[in-house]
Amino acid sequence: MSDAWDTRREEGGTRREGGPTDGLTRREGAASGYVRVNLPGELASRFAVIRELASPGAEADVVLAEEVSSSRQVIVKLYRRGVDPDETAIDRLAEASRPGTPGWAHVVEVIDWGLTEGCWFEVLEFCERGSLRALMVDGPRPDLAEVVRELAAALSFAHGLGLVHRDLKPENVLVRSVSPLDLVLGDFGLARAIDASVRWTRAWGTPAYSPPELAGGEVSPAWDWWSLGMIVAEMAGGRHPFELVDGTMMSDQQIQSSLAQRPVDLSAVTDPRMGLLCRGLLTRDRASRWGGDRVKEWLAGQSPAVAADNFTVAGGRVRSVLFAGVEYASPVELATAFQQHWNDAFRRLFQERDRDLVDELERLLRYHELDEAVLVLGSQSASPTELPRRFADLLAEMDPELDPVYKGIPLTPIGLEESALTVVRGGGDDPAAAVLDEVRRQNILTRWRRLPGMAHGPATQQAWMAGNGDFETAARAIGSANFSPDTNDWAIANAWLLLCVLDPDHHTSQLAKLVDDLDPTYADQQPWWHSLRTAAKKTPPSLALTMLSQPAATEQTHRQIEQARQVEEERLRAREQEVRAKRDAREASERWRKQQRDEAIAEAFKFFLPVTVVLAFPFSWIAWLLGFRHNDVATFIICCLIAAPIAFVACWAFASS
Amino acid sequence: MPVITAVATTHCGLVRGRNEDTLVLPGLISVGTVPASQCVTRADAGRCLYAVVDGMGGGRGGQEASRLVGQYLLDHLDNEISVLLSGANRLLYDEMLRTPSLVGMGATVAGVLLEDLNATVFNVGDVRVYQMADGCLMRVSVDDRLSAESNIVTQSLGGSERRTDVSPHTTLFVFSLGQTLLICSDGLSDVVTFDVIQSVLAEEGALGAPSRLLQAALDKGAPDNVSIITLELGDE
Repeated sequence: MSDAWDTRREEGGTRREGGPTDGLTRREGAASGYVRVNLPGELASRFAVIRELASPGAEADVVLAEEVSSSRQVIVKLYRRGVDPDETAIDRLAEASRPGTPGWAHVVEVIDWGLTEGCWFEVLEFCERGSLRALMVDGPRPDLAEVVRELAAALSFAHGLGLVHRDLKPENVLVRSVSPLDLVLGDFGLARAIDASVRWTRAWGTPAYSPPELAGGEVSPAWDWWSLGMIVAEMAGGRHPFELVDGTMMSDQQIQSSLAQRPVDLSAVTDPRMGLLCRGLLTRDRASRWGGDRVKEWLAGQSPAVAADNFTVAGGRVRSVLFAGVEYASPVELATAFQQHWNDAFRRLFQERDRDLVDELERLLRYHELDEAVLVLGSQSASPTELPRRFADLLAEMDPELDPVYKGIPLTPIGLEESALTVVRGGGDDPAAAVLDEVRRQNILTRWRRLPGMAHGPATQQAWMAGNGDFETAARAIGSANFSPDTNDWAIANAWLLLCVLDPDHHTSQLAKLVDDLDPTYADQQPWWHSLRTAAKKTPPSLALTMLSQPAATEQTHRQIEQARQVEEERLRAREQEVRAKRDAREASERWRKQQRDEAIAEAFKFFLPVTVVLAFPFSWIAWLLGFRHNDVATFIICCLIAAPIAFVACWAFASS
Repeated sequence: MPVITAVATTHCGLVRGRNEDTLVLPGLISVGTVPASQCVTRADAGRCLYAVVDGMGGGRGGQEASRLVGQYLLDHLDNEISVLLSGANRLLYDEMLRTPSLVGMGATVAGVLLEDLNATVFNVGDVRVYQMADGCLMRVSVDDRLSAESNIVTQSLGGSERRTDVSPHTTLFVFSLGQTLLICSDGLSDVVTFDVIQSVLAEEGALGAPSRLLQAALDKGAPDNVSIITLELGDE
C-alpha cells in the first residue's frame, strides 16, 4: 500500500506545494508510531488514528484513521482552531458526494463534517493509490484523454454545485484505482461557493496552476478550467510550461510576470489535439476560455474555436505596472508594494500625477475590471488635503484586505501602537511623530472610519483627542514659565496618549511606572510638580505631563539653587568690599595725617631759624633790662637757645594750621 | 476682507544670457529679472490674474513672445480663460506674419485667475501650478509634454510656423485660507525636486518660499530662466 504514496519532486524551492492537505497524498513527514494529533472526544470514539499525515499548509491537521464501526480507512482533516472552512462549500460537497448521486463519480466523498469542540473537521474517503502526481512520476502513465474526461466530469459536477476548486493540480487529484483509471478530485480546502457574497479573495492556490486572474483575485469556474489546461500541458509536454531548462520551477513572481506578458509556452506539446485543448483551456480571457461544454465537444472529437489572446492595448503596452523596479501584473501585489513605498507611490500617483505611472495603473485596473479604483484614481481633488484619503480608497479597491495606511503608518490598532512606540523610543524625534500628529489633528481615524479595518477609528480618535485636550489644558495650567513643552514633548505626549487609548491597562501602567521611576529629588521642590506627582487622580494626560515636565522642574530647582548661591555670594562680596573700603579710608586718612605732620615739620624747619633770631632780640633786651649787661654776646646766645624751642613750636603750630 | 498676497521673482539663471520669462500680476508685468517682490491685492478687487509666461524661440523671439502674451493677458482680462489664451495664440501668429524674423516664436503659460476667491488654474505647455494645504503639495496643472521624462512640449501659444489652435487645461476650485498656490516655470520644476519644493513651501510659507526656491534652482546650476509666484490668502 505504501508504494502508492507519492514522493515529491524536487522543485527548486518554489511553491508548487501549498495545499493544506498535501498530506493526503504523501507520507513523508508523517510520524510513525507517535501521533501528535489527538482527535477530539467525539471523533476519537469513532475513529482510531493509524498515522498522522504531513500538512504543510498549517490550516489543518490530517490523519489517516480507521472508522471503528466499518473498519474502513478514512482521512480525518481537523482544522486548526480559528480556521473556518467555507461551510457552504463543504456542506454542498457532503450533500452531493454520495455514491449514487447522479453525476458524482470523480469527486472526493465527504463522509462527514462538522464542528466539534470548537474545531471544524472533515472525514474524507481515503484513496490509497495516492495522487496523479505519483502516477506522472512513477507510472504507469495514464491515458491523457481519460484523465481529461474524468477531471472535466469532476469539475462540471463541482461547478454545478456552485463550487470553484481553485487549487486544481496533480497533487490534489487522487487515484482510486489505476486500472481502470478512476481519478478523484480531492482537497476542496480552498474551494469557494461562488454564489456566496465572496467575490474577491486574496491570491491563493498555486501560481503554477492558477490563471492570470489570480492577480485580480476574482473567482469563477473558468479558474479551474485553466488549471486543468496547465495539467494537460504538463502531462502532454512532459514538463510543466513554467519549468526552467535546469528542471527547477520559475518563482511565483516570474510566473505572474510571464502570465501577464506572454501566452503560456506550449512548444513542448507536440500532439495537435492536445495542443488545441491546451490553447482552449489556457485562453487568457475568462469569458472566451473553454469550459465543460467545449471540453465535451473536444472529447467527442470536435475542434471548438479558440479565442485569440489579447496581450496589448491601444498603446501596445503590456498590462503590468513597473513600480520601484519591479513589474507588477497583480493589483493585489501592486497595492502591497504601494503601501510599502507609501510616500513614493503617493507622490507619484496623487501629488505629482506622474503620467506614465498613472496611465499604466489605469490600464491595469481596467483590465481587472476594478472600475471603482479607476474612478478614484482619475477623479480630481479640490484640495491636497483629500489626497491621502483618496490613496487609501484606491488601495482598498485594489486589495480590500489591505490595512489602511496614512503616510506610511498603518492605521490599525497594532500599526498605530507600533508607530507610537517608535516615537516614544526615539524621544519624539522620529518622522512618525509628525505623521501621528497629523493623524490626530486632521481627524483621520474618524474620517476614514468606513475603510476596512477602521471600525475602531472614531472611538480611538475621540479618546485620543480628549486626552490631548486634557494634556494641553493641564500644561497651560502649570504656566509656560514653569514648563513649556517643545516639539518633542508634544510628540511624546501625543504618542503616549495614543498608546493609553489603544491599550489602556498596559500602557497606562507602563507610563505610571516611568513616572514612579523619575528622580523627584530636585523636581519635587517645585510646588507645581510636587502637586502633579502626588495628585490623587492620575490620568494618562497628567502622567505624561508629570513625566515630561520632570526635567523642567528639576532644572527650575537647579536654577533656583544656583540663584540663591549667587545671591549669597553677592552679599559676601559686598560685605568684604565694605570692610575693605573702611580699612582703605582709615589708612588713607592716616597717611594724610602723617603727610600733614611731615609737611608741617618741614615748614617749621623752614621758618625756625629766622623766628628764633627774631625772638632772641626781645629776650636779649629784656635780659639787658634785668641787668645782664656784662656779656652781650653770651646773653644773646642764651636768649637764642631759650627762644629756639618756642620758635619751633610756634612754627609747627603755624604750619600745622 | 481677505487679501491675496503674492510674492513673485524671476531670474535669468546661470546659463541663459537673457530672461525670456514674464510674470503677470494684477496690473503689472515684469521686464527682465525681478527680485522677490510682494504684491498685495484685496480679494474683492475683481478679476486678478497671476501667471508665468515662458518664452520659446531663438533670437529675439522668445522674449518678444513672452512679453506679447503677458501684455495681452493683462489687457484682455475680461475674457474667459479659453478665449483669452486663444486670443494670445492668435496674436503671436499675427505678429509672426508682420515680422518674419519672429516666425516660430512661442510661449508656454500657466497661472491662476481669481475672482471672489474662485480660482481657475490654467496652463498651456509645461509651466506648472501647484497647490499646497496641510503640508501636502499637489500639482494642479497638466503638463503638455510627450512624457514625464521628456522636455518636448506638445502644446504652446505660437511656437510653430503654421497656425495651430490651443486647448488649455483648466481646473476650478475655491481658494481658501491655509492654502498656498505656486506658479513656476520649468526652470524651477526641472531642477528642484518635488519633495524639496514641498518642504520649502511648508517651512517658509508663501512669503519666504520664492527666494529660497530660486536659490535652490541657482544652487543646481539653473540652466534655464527661473520664475516663481506664490499666492496666499490672509486677513487684512
